Amino acid sequence: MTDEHDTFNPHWSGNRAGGDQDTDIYQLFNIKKYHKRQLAVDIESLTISPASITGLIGPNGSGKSSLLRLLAFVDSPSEGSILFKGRKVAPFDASVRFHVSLLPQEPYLLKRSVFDNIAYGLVLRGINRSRHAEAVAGALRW
Amino acid sequence: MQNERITLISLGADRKQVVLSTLWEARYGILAASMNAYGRVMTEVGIAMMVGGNIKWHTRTITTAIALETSKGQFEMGIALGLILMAIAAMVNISLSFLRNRS
Repeated sequence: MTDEHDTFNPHWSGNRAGGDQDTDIYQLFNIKKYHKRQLAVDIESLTISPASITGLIGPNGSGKSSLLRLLAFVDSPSEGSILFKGRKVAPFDASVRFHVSLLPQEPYLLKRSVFDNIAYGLVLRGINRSRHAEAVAGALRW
Repeated sequence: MQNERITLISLGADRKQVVLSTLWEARYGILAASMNAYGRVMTEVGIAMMVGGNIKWHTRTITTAIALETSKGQFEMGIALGLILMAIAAMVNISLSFLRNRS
């Protein structure tokens, strides 16, 4: 398991190709996440800018997935704060829920039809049922 | 289930929707558990006798009635009640295995 030494600890920021005119999507300060007293994520600072691609590299158990869960606001950090577009985010904040998605490495399928699985995001967003068929068909054509 | 929770939240579910969806996902398991519990309660005799006391119209269940009728020597009545109880228990178990197969 992890120890202090191989805990994922990036000190670089995402590239700024997108320009500085937009607010950074993520700003992380002194983030710590413990799993049963085990330090899983320890980040002094990390900034992710718009229109940039950030890669996470590290050995098994170094906290990559834990960091992704924090960034998707599925988990909250044990210490420190994550700013999303310059704002602190409360758990289940509606302004973030519909803008950040995490695709887990082992995807979970709901015990419903394929159609219902694809349409589930639309249901959560309160989109009228009559528009589901078209949206799902569009997604399936992809 | 952790993966389900992550998927639901990242699709945009709020706390209430996560709870409802999780219950819906576990529907077969929950139904099977309730029916199992129902079957166990239906066929219980010792506790019903000890705690309830087998009082007619109050705490007498089919199982305690069977025990009483048998000890009274009224075996026909006991067997008849036993058949009814068995039919009910069999129905519950058949439905249970049907649900298990579906999930």
